[in-house]
Amino acid sequence: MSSPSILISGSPHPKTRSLFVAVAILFAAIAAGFGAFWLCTFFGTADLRSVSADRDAGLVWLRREFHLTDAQFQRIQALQTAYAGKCDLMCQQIMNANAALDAAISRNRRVTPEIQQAMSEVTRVQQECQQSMLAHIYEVSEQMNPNSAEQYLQIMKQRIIQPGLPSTTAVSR
Amino acid sequence: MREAANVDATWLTWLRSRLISATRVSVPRLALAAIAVGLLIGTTTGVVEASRWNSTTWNRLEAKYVQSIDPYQRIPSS
Repeated sequence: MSSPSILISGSPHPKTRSLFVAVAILFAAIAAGFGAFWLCTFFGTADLRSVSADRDAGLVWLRREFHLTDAQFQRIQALQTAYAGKCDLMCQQIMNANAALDAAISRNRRVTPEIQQAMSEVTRVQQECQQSMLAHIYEVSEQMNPNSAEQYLQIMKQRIIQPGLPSTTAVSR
Repeated sequence: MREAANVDATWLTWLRSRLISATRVSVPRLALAAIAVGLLIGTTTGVVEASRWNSTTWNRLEAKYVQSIDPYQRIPSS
């Protein structure tokens, strides 16, 4: 009953050699695994990495998600450019109205006409912004194919128009 | 009893011979098998990780588009 290591006892350090081979194999396997992992993640994410670095990454998302043709995309891009300025203005109006309400709330200790007016202004600006946004969403959807437009409206409804509770939410009595 | 013991011994002999033969693989074959396993694990986890990253990034791009048309999502929260 002799073990293989005794059989090759002619070698100076058979156990050391075996250990070295085992470690080398282990390292080679790990290196191969890391290499495969890196290659898969590098090439598998290359496309989206280039898209996300794009300045108009949001629009590229729109183009791909809804399979827009070049003509559709150009029209939507023009709409988006025209809307961007309006959106910046609305953003400023919202911030101003919120700041005015904040200041009025801090200045008073009861609901005064000043606070009422500030609240009305916030509501007015909010309504104006939502209407403007909805009009833009409808305009964009009109440039798409019917199925894509339906899908687009569905997503926008969830993300923007109804950002709070869905209409099916049960309300406690 | 003796017959049962013989059967057990045959079993053990057979099992031992299988185990020993299983360990008698050549070094290149063992290395190849280990590298193949490493490649398989690396590829699988790489594909899963790339898929997860793509999914997260796609959602981020969607949020970016939504942010570009919704002034309320542009305002930094205090």
